[in-house]
Amino acid sequence: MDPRARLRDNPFFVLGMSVGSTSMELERAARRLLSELAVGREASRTYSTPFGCMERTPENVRAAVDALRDPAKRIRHEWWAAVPVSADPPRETLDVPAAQYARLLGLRCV
Amino acid sequence: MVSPVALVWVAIALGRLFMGSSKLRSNVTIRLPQRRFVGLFAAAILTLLFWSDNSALVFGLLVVSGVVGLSHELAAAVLIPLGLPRLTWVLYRLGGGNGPPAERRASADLAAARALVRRPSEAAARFIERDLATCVELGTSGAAAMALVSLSRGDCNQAHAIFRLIDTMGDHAPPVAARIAREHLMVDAFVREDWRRVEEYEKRAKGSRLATLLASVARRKTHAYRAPSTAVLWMAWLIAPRRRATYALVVDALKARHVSPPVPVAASLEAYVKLLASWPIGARREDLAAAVQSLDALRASPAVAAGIEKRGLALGLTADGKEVCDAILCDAEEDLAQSVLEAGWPATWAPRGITGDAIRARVEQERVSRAEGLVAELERRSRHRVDLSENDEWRAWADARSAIDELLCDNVPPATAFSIVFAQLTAYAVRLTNVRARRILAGDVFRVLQDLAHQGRASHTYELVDRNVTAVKADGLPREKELHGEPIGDLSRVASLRDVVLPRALGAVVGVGVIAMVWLLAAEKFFLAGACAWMTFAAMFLFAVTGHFVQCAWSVEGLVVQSRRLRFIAQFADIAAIGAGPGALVRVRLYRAPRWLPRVVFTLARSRAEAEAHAARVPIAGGC
Repeated sequence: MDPRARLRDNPFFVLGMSVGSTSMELERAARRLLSELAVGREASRTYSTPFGCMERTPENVRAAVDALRDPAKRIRHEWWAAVPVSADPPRETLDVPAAQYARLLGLRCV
Repeated sequence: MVSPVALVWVAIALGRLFMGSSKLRSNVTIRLPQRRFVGLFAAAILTLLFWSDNSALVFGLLVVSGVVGLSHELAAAVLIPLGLPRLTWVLYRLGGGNGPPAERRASADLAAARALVRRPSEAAARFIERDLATCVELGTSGAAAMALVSLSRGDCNQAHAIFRLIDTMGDHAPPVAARIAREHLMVDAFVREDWRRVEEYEKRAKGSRLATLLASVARRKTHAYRAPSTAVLWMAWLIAPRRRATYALVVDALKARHVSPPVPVAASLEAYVKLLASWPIGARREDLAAAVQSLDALRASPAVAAGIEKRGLALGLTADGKEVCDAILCDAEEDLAQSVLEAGWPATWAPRGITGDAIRARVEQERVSRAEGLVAELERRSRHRVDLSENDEWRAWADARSAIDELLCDNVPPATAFSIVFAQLTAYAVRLTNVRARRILAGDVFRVLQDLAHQGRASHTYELVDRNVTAVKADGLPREKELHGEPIGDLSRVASLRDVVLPRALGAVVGVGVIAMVWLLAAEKFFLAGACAWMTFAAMFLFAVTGHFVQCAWSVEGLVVQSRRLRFIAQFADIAAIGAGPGALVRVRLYRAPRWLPRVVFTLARSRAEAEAHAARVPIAGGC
């Protein structure tokens, strides 16, 4: 399990809403995002998290709005969503080291 | 005139052949000088001879001797950098390979694999795999070769797991395999900015110029104690290999840059987020400590619990704010424990405190159950006779060993670790040794158990673990007086002739024959020399044939083959064919056999009909 999953998949980040939003606002935001994703709007394809931008899909939008319907779960998600987000692209953790690894060892693979 | 030196060279070659054919019956392991040293010796003498006599024959022999003598150096300097695996393999085999006798054959595959990763090709990868499949045991060199083949296919995890195991074998691994493993692991740690491991590997990789450079760059980047000066860093770069690739690293390290200090401890999630944002590359022990202590501060803050309770009331919840806060912090602990587990950090990096202790407990519990699970799986497979391919077997043991090492890093008492793994690993390694003939792999298992027993002061097992470590160093299983299973051949009626009279007589004929032949050729008595050569050849042929006679018996594990000295269990999949005749003779051809056993062996059944019955019931599974 990725230890960053809890923050990365936080429903407030997925929906792009603040923690003070009402249930109605959250539902409306989810519907808007689903329709935008259906028509392929570029701006809706990603969302900001503390670890950079992540890909937004209809599945995680639905899961996010479902999670926030339960007040017991919502209060925990609100707490996590209080951390600042970053709009940078996510940090590459595989390709750059792999290329450098191959170069340092004189390999033409990996 | 034929040069007497050339004849000496021929005599040496014949001598080697003769010694090779005697391997089955000799009780003494004859250690001949390695082929390339003989080549160098011959080349030195031939150079002197060529100096005085410009003969084309001498020159030709000089070239051949030189290629044999410098085969490994030629391969390392020319063929491996050019990425020519097959030629590298040929040259290494010509030079006889390097390392301990059990590893020499696979050392050629390791050299070929080193060339393969320079210029990957699926055909060459399959060539190496096919050749390794004919070895009865991969050994450390073979495992390293398979790791490089995996790397050439882009499977870094498999390669690094094997390299980690080879690295932990220390002096028991051949130097070439150990150096390759260490360099790969060190470069991997370097590119992942795992400076702690870079330092560790540098201490072990003594004399590696690349390791020295990378460790110097790491110390400079982290502003560590004893960071090298600019001049020393450039000097390390100058003597290191691949200067074009490492130039940017040195320039980067020399730039004035300060390591960011850890986020100060406060009742907030800032340190926690910073740790996970830089995880696993670049995250440090101080970052983990700051994150853990920040969670402690959050737990102790009454304002946080009050804020949660207030917000809960606004959402229509009646839960206690403290309870919700604890549940949230429990989630955070779980994430931090997971990050420690995944990054392979010691649990002791989490500082003492409510959160730190909880993380330590979670990590230790997880690691104990992982080690138990992996070791139990090894034991289950050995109990149910479910064997993996040797490459996968190395990987399975590498995972189990890594889990055991992590346990010991977490301050789990060695006695506890020993009690968890002793019985199961012993059963596993015994099967590896006795049935699968994987003595190098089993040797590592037994050595781990020996170390654990001594660290955990399990004195009642000292004798057993020491005996296992010693037993696995032998070339094969000891000979049994009575073979268990259904016997095929009965050699008792020819035993004395076969074991005592014939070898000595034939040995004498061959020895005298070779010397006489050299002498007669030097004296230009070609007819007599030819007659002597034929006689010697006939004697050697007979010697080799009689050397192939063994005792055999069917068992549930396969065919038990017993020579005069040692015993080997050929798996059913390793039997290529069994033939009958002439007479009661049974011919067994194996796909793989240990060094001391020819791949084609003979035994004598009681009658022709019995021999045919054995040949007809071969349960061959299709070979390797």
